[in-house]
Amino acid sequence: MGLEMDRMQRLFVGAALPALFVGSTVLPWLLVRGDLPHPIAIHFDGAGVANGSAPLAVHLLVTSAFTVSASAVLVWAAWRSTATLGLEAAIATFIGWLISAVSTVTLFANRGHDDWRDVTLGSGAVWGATMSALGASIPVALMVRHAARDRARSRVHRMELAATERVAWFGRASSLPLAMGALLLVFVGTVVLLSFEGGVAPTGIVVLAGGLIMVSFMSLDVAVSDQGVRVRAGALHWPRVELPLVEIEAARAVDCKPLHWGYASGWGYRGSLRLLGKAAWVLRGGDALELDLTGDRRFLVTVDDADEAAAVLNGLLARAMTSPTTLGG
Amino acid sequence: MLVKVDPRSSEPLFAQIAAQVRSAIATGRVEEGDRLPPARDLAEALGVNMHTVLRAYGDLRDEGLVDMRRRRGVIVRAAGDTRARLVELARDLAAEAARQGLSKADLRRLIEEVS
Repeated sequence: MGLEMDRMQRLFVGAALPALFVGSTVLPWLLVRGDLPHPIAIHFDGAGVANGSAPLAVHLLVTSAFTVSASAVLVWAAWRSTATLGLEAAIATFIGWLISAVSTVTLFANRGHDDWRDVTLGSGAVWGATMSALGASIPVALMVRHAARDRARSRVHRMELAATERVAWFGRASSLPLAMGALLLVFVGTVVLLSFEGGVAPTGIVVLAGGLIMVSFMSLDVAVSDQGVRVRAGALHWPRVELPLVEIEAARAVDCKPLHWGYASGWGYRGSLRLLGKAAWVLRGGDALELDLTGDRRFLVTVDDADEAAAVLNGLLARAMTSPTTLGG
Repeated sequence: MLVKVDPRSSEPLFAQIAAQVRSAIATGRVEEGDRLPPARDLAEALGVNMHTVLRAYGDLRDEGLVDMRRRRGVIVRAAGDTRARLVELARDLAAEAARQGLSKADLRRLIEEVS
């Protein structure tokens, strides 16, 4: 059980779209490269007049970084054996489409001019690219059919604890792909900031900021004790989630599948305890600690050796129930 | 990594903590290069004084099990060191016992007394 795409859909998402994105990065360049100013205009103000430029090579590098990454996500999503993910595939489609469309349009606008300052590109072109990107990502999102909630075999253990024993458990999880993604964004953002003239700086700042935020999701630390569960981002120690023992009703170890639909689908911090009652901190598929919280809330965090964490937590909860005076503190 | 202590036990808390960490290293739950939880975090989680944890960590460092680095924290060293250290200590003990004229049986009895 899970999410299935049929063969045609897999071909579309995993082969056709990536080919389109990569092709539309390379093909326009091949067609117009003899006919471009140096540097090329890459950013335009509201009236369509060029106000930002960059060397062609840098423009192609940045464009490729995004289209190749988006394509990689789509290929991976389509060719994995069991499932595909709706949100990430849709976002990858949107980004890949948008970037390749904008790049193509930009290159053609530059064609035939000697100086980048003479180049014009109406905002209609960018709007068209954005709208068509949205249009393309919707069918991709719809291709994902919702799966019934994964009643995966969850493992429940409980550690026996004497009344006076004190116990602490520490665990962690990390993700190399997310770390590399963060590095990529920081690199691309810095390149954009440093090498582009004019109005492009804000874009660079946004990308750089995105990369720095992603640094928070390279690794995480989990601590379990009679104070409850504390999750903390490894690098910057932020974000943090602190759940006191009084708010926890049960703990179990589960197998987290970010590619499956559900409150724990996708990577990063998903959902919100306050707004949606469900949240998940996912760095990778696999071992995860799932908590049932008071008020029908649920929280999941991917962590190595989740079985042990669940056992400790259930032990603490059982003990707290039999001797209420040890609760809280 | 799991750490369980019992304040009621006759063994001092710092020794219990050190023993738990040693066990985690010996069983491979914590590996070479892994970082132990910061003393403050472990102390807070167990509800003990931070210096109790620092003492435990200090003992482990003296045994050669961990390194304490300024910014990186407490890092586990190769577990192979522990066995070698044990053998070294045993050799020293055997040599000293021989110097004092203890027989092997006496030495065995002595070890039993203290362990």
